[in-house]
Amino acid sequence: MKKLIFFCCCNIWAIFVVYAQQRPPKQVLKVDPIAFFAATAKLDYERVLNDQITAQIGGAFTSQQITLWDDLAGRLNGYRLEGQIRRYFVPGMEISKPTAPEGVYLGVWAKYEALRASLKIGDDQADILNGGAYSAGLMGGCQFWMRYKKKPYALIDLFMGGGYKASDYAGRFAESGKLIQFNRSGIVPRFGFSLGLPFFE
Amino acid sequence: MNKFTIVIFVSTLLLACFSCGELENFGGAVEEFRLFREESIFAIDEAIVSIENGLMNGTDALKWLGRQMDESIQKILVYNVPFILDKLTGEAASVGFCAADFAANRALHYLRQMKAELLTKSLPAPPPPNICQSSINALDLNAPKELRSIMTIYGYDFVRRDSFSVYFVSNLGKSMELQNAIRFQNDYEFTINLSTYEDDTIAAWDYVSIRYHEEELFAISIVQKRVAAKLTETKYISIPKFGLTPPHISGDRDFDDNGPKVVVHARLRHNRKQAYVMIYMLAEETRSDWTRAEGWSDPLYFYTAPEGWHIQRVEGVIDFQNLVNYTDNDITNDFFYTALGQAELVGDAEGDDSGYQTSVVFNFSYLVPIIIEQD
Repeated sequence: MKKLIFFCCCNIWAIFVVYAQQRPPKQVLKVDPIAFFAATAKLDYERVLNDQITAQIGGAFTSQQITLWDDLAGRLNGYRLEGQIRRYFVPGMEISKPTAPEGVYLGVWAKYEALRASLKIGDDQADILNGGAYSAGLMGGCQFWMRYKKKPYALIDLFMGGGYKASDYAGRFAESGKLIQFNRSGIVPRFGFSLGLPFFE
Repeated sequence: MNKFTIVIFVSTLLLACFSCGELENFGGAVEEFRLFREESIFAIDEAIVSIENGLMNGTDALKWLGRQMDESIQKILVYNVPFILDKLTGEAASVGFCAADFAANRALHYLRQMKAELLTKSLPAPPPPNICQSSINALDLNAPKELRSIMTIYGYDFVRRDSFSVYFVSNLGKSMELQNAIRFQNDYEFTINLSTYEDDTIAAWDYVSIRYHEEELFAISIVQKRVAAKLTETKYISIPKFGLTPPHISGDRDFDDNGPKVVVHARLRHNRKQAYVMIYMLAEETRSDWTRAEGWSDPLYFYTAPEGWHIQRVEGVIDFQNLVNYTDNDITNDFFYTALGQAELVGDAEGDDSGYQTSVVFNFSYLVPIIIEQD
């Protein structure tokens, strides 16, 4: 099954690459390969607004088994929505048309995430942690195309930054314990890595 | 940007991603909450252990916990630290004698309630009553009765009054419930009335047991009455001169130079107050019609114990068999020196003997050792 999925992904990738090479890419789809290690699927869409500014929206989703306390196994479900505006310091690859830029950039970002961790006890489900968090901040990074014979076929996006995060969760210390507000706020660091592919129009 | 620079940059960033856990991981919030939970519960446990081990008193432990515990937890708990401290201060004022003991026990209970609120929703059972002091340390039966017939018991949480009971208990496990002996003054004090019980009844038991739901809460030992060692004395008593003429039994009363064979015994005896002596004499003709005189004397009471004393025993020999045993062959009086003294005997004499002249008279020289004992 895994081989089949991998094979399909490669084919889709190839189609995207072929189309992108026919037309200058000004839209990019990105995935975060590292997030897979955390049982999270993350997909971003970056669109060129002009030769130096892009807008990116994205989302992530997770559903994973977690170990709480006393070796209790629970399930964590969550999603995240994010928006970014980036300003690149080097104009796009093709000056005449707005296209996906590369090089060093600075950006602002804002995101919202919601999660729910729960325990399954018999047929009952008890929420252990439930709530959401808002965060926003600045970031900087570097994005560049990998080319074959001067034709772009993949994009690497690396960034780091930080922001202010305010979370509002409610949780309990045991399946039948009292519900406790668990609010946290403060500065958080941010690092990221995405692998992108050109997206034909 | 050359390839080497790119490789270094990418590697560094990936390393940073992994080491900081910033993998777009949702689990970070859960992990943070798990730590928050552990720290909070650990703080409560540590406060409990500190009180149990006597490292901190109840109030100090609660104040310490108040500094350790997150405000968000305090807000949602009914039994939060400020609430407990207020309640503790108010209650401690009513407890009086047991204030120190009360503060620690009550703080422990409230901390357990706090933990239960966080973990189970169901609160632990109310604490059992505690007795910390009694007006008398022991029920001393040597003390005047009016000083020990009412015992006052001090403690706290005497709420479920019908669950209290009082027993006399023996060390062998037997017990007897004291009916209607408890009277409560308030939730911190009650009395036990023993005035209806005689000392002889109380003396049959070893301690007074105060029970709650049949579980012993407090015990007061019973000190038995002291029994003074009884005094004894030995008296050496002389017996006055005493004789016996044994009654005639058979024959013609005249021994007629045929003996008689004579036997004399004596006994020393006593009852509770008096000591007495009895003499036996047998005189029997040795042939012809076998005239015989024989019998025991009436008791001669020779000693009476003084007031407040009684005779415990007569020391030494009390049965004197065959003090005299001979055959009288003449008509003169015979003298013998026996263990009791000189005995003057008449066996055969002129005229009728048996029941008339045949006799024995003791001139006692023996001092009878008599042990007397104070009542």
